Order: sequence, then structure tokens, then C-alpha cells
Amino acid sequence: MKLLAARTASYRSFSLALSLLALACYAAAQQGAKNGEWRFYGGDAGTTKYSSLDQINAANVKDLKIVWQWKAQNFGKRPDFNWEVTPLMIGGVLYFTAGTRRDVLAVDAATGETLWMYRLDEGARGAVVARTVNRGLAYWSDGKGDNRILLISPGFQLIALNARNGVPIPGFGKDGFIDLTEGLDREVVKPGQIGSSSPAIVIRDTVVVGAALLAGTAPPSKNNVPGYIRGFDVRTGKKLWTFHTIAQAGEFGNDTWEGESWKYTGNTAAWAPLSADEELGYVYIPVEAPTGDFYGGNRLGNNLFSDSLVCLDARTGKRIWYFQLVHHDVWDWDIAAAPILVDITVGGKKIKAVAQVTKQAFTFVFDRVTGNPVWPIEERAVPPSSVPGERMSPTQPFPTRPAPFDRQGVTLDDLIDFTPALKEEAVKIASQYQLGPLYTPLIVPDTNGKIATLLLPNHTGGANWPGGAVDPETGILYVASLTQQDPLAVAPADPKRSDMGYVGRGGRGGVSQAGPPASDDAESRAPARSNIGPQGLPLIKPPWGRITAIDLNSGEHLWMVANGEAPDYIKNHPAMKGIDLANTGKPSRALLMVTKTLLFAPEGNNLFAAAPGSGGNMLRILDKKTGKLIHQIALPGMATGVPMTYMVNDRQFIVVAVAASGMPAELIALALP
Amino acid sequence: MHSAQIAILGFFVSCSAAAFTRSVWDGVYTKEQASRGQTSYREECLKCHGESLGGGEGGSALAGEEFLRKWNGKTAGDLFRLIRKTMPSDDPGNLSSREYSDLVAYILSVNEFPVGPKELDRDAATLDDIRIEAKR
Repeated sequence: MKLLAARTASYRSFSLALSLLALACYAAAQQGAKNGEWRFYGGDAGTTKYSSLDQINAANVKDLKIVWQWKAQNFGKRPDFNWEVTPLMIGGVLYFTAGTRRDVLAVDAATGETLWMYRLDEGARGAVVARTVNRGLAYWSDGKGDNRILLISPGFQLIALNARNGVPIPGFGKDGFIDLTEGLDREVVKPGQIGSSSPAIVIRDTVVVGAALLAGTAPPSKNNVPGYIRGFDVRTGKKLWTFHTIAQAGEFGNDTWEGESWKYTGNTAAWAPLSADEELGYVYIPVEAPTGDFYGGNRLGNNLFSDSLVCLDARTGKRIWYFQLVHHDVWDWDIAAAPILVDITVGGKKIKAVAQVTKQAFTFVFDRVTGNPVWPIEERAVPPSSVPGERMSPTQPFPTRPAPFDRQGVTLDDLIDFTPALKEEAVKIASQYQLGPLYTPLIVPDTNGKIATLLLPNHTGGANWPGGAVDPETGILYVASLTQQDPLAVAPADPKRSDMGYVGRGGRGGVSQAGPPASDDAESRAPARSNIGPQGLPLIKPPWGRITAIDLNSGEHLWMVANGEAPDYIKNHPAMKGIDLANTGKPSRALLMVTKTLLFAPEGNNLFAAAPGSGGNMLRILDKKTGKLIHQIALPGMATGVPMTYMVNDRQFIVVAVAASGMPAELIALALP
Repeated sequence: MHSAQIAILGFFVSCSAAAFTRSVWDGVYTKEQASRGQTSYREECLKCHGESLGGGEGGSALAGEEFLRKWNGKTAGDLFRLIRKTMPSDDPGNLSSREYSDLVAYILSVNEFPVGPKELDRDAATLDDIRIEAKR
């Protein structure tokens, strides 16, 4: 009896230990950045952009001060003014890319002192590149002192550097280099056709690489380089696998490329940051649109795996599951943000989930093991196209939950109505365009007397590469979005310049008094575009930029706040005299990072196709429970990269890249005194 | 000054403003200059205005019917000044005058205006003598 009791007790403690171990494993699955470090671009492999650090909290955040600045001005041929970088922090050292040449820097995380720099002159290969913008690096360690930094160069080479000194690792590829233009099923890949703006991701011992190509509004050809996904052994650089984002002959999905369009169509890369689950060994790939952002007559069919969230086994490249978010994309609503991995509880059931925020303001949520939607995603009928040669998918997927986080589609009710006169003008402007719900097709100018289709969100609206951040302790997702519309049309391509048949074209009408704003915010860059609304004002009702908190356990929106205050040119606009402009926000996306209690939300600018009055130099710090502003700090420029945080010598730092028109980029580090 | 003199002076001023000595059809840039402009274009402009100058994310078309309709009747000096004042959008005005002039030459070449023996000048006022005409 005694023996049995002892056995039972021992069994109990064993099973308790097992449960605790399981709990610890589960809890460790997605916990954001660990040990006060920031080992991945997005904090952790799941791109949570979360750290549980809380030395800086609501009680003391007002004491936050800039403690060092690191200037990128002299890196690259000309200064960088749009530095989208987020550094890594490992063992007290920050690692990041800087300048248009994408030099690699190691900097003391406590002081900002430069420790080493790696500069690669790629000659002609690097002179003209698909994407000059850079977001950062990947890191790998064998845990025994072999620590590596992985760089994708502007000329599209994968380079492994010794993290201690920045010297290329001889045993990786060829003297530390892998030519990523090889193996893309094209005889010639010209410099500048393909590159990457986001870093690679390392999962276990595999480094996975996406790609970025030139914008495809008016491509010179329907022929382009495909943006295949590749996996390499991080120790040797040996290529392990290629995933064909354009299904090739005999492969699943090949029949979604009619007329053998899979043979010549390119793009379909993954230019946003990638995410991974280290426990499952899976990598999550956000795939972009195929060649021709706005015309798909040369690639009829659903075009797998374009615009799909694809889950691959990171070691073999085998497809585990996929879900196409836009069939036959002709709106340039490609997946522009990293998938966000988080463990949630829905109806009492624990789910390892992946949430994907999109340009068209949806949040698609899946079980990341199986690919099953957490809430039903309905295929709903959408209108056909009148463009010659074009054929739309008859349906598109609509998540039933969570609700969209920004306006979708345009009706007259969406137009500004600050005064009856402004509303009247807005209606007159809008009536030049084809209006309609989400997935209204583009038109050829002068179809039914309309100049173009008014897209909302447009292809640079909604969420984009800054994506969202998630609190893994609560399952609450934070997403920044831009309420931006654009009149867009497709017009016959000049055969001397393009074999596309039709290409995308801006479609601004004559009934508009749009022009540059009377006075722009001093801290903002010169607007790349003007408003189309009355008297240079936005056409669509505010907020023009917003932050939304979504509980992924229930799928409910918890709160939504405007991204800062209205731009000065709107506040000072004669037509806006006496009008309440609270909660209008700046027309830009905040760059979000979450800690134990705070949501760091610098106003940000973060896309070169920015609206007037975007940007703003305030680092806004919100209560993550309510969205209420706790404190704001003026930075020397606007945030251009997602912030990150870490702890060194018992001191928590917040680091963010900033720049402004005419102000070369720099890193700003903030800490308590 | 007599009012008659003012009128005569006014007449000459308006004459000189309207008196374009050349048009873009007269071979106002060289092949080499357009080639240099192409290099600058690819480094500085391509990401927004596209490979074929047909426009892109946030960048308007710099070639073709729409572009020519917009610029018809204006001068090469107007185009030079606008580019220098506003571009590159993140660092306006910070290319050299030579680069801006080369970029105008490249834009003219893509719009299929003929080359000539002499390069486009780097001075905006001088370029005001060259009228942009969509059709010869």
C-alpha cells in the first residue's frame, strides 16, 4: 500500500512535471523576442514585434530620452532618406544594413559605437537594382560560437558573414557568396530585374530567401523573372530546394495559368518579410501578384500561388498548405506584410494561428498547422471586367471575421462632408469615376463616361510592409492602416514600349481642384502625390490613418484610434475653419512594436507613394489595452522603420530609424536616464 | 517713359518670351547624353516611374500620349525646373545640374524626339528656348 502511494505520488509529480514541460514548451512557442534580445527582423521568427521587457512602462515613459544617434548619411553613394530598417540585437551588438549600397554594420547596442562595417561593391551588378530600400538582416548561431549574419545584397547575392568581424564565411557557397539570380528558369537574368528589400529568414539550419522585383504598373513585357522561394543550408550554402511560386508543368496549380502563361509570367515573389515557426519547422510565405499589376489578360486563370499565403516545410520546401487571398489579382493587392504567428484560444480550443493583414484591409486568420480558416472565409461573387482580353475570377474570398480594419470600396457616403459645399464638390469629383464595392474591376478610360475606377483601399493603402504586431500573451493584434484611394484605369499599351496589350494608368479627372497642399507639415517629406478631393483636401472621410486592435481569440475589434493629429495643411486650410478635426489622424501608417504594457507607434511615413501630410515626427506611446495616448516624444525625423527594443546592462533601449525629406537617415536610441 | 515706349518695350518682351528658337524636333540632345540620363534614371527614378517610363507606384508616366498632352506647349526649361525642384522625391534638388539635364535628354529620347549634334544645356533659362511639341 505504502509502495502504491509512493508510486502514485511519483506518477503525479511526473505527470505534473510533464504538464509543466508541455506548458513551458507551449508558452515558449510564440513569446516574442526572448532574453532581452531581438534576433529576428520581427523580434522573433513569428514576426510578433513583441518584447516582454517592461523597464520602460506607463509610469516612467515620460522620462524617455534620446541617448545616442547613429548616422547613416555617408553609407552608399547618396544618402538614404527612406531607411526601412529594423536592427537585430544579439549579445549586446546591433546588426543592420545601412545606405543604398546596403552596407552591414555592427554597433554597440549600449553606446551606438560602430564596431565593424562590411561594404560590398558589386560594380555594374549593384549599380542598378530592383529595390534600393533595405529592411535588415538575418542571424544564425550553432550555439557553439559559429555566429553568422545573412545579407541579401542589392545585386541579389546571399552572403554569410562572421558576426564577430563581418568577414565572409569561406565555407558558405563560394567564398561566402551565393548568386541568387541563378536557378530562376530564365536564360538571362539582367541586373536590376530581381533583388530583395526584406531580409532572409533562418529557421533551424535553413535560410529561406524571397525576392522583390520592379513595380508592375506598366511593365515593358509580360515576360519577367519569377520570384521563386529558395531554401539553403545555412552551414554550407547548399541549395536545398526551390518552391515554384508559379506552378510549373506537372505541378499542382499549373492549370491555373491558361495559355501556358506559366512559361513567361514572372514576379509572384515574396517581397514582404517572411515568418517561421521554429517548433513546427514551417516557413510562411506571403506571395505577391504576377506580372502586370492591373492587367491579367496575358495570364488568365487564378494564377497559383500568386497572392497566396503558403506554408512550406523549411527543410524540404514541401508545400504543407496554401490559401489564395486574391484570385487572379488585377488590383495590385498582393500580400505586402509578414504573416504574424500567434497562439490563440477560440471557443475554448487552443489554436496555433497565423494572421495575415492585407492591403485591402482584411485580416485572414488560419490554423498555422493545417491551414484551416479559424473563422469561415466565404467565396463571394464579384463583378466581371469590361477590359478587352481580361477575365476576372467570378468569386473572391471574404473573411467573415475579423471585420475589415479600414474602409473597403467607395460609395457617396464615404466622401468628406465637413460642409455641404465640400460634400457637393466631392460628389462632383467622385462622379467622374466608377465607384463600387471591394473588387470592382478597373476600366478602360471613357467606359460608360467614366475616367477610371476609384479604388479604396488603393494598391498603396490598407496595411503594407510595416504590417502589424501581436501581443502573444493576450492574442491581441495591432494593425496600422492607411485610408487611401486612387483613380486607376487600364489603357492600351504603346506597342513600342510594352507587349502587355494593356497597362495600368493613373486616372485623375479634370473636375478636381487638387494640387499640392497650401502648407505641408514641416517635418513631412514633399508629398509624392496630391489629393484628388475638393480644394486639395482628401476625398474620403477620416480617419486617414488608423491603428486598430483586434482580439484574435474572439475576432472582435477592441479599439481603433487615429494615427496622430490631422496634418497642418488640413488644420490651416481655409475651408476647414471651425471644423472639429479630432480623430482624423495623419494619412500614414504607424510603425508598431509591443511591449509588456505599451504600444510604440511612431507616426511614420513608410512608403514612397505617400499622401500629402503623411509622416510626422512624433513617437507616440499608447496604452495597449485602450489605445489611449500615454506620452509622445518628438524625434529628429519621421520614423521610417519598425522600432525594436532590447536590454543591455540592465537598461532597456528603444531603437528606431528616422529620416525626412532632406534629412539623411539615422538610428535613434531612447532609454530612461 | 512715354506710354508709347512702354507699349513698344512690352511688345518686345512678349515677343522674346514667345520667340522659341527651337523645338524638341530640332535635335536638341545627343545620344551620349541620353545614355547618361538613362543610367541616372535607372538609379534615381525607375523605382517610382517604372522601367518603360509608363508610371508606377506614386510616379506619373514620363512617356507616351498622356505625358505629351500634359507638356505640349511648355518648354524643356519648364521640365528641367520641375524635375530639379521636386525630384528625387526624398531628396529634391540634390542631383547635379548635369544629371538633371541628362534626365531631360533621356525623357526626350524615350518620347522619340530626334538626337542632334549638341547636348542639352544645364541652364534652365537657356532651355526655355526649346519648345515641347507633341507633334512636329
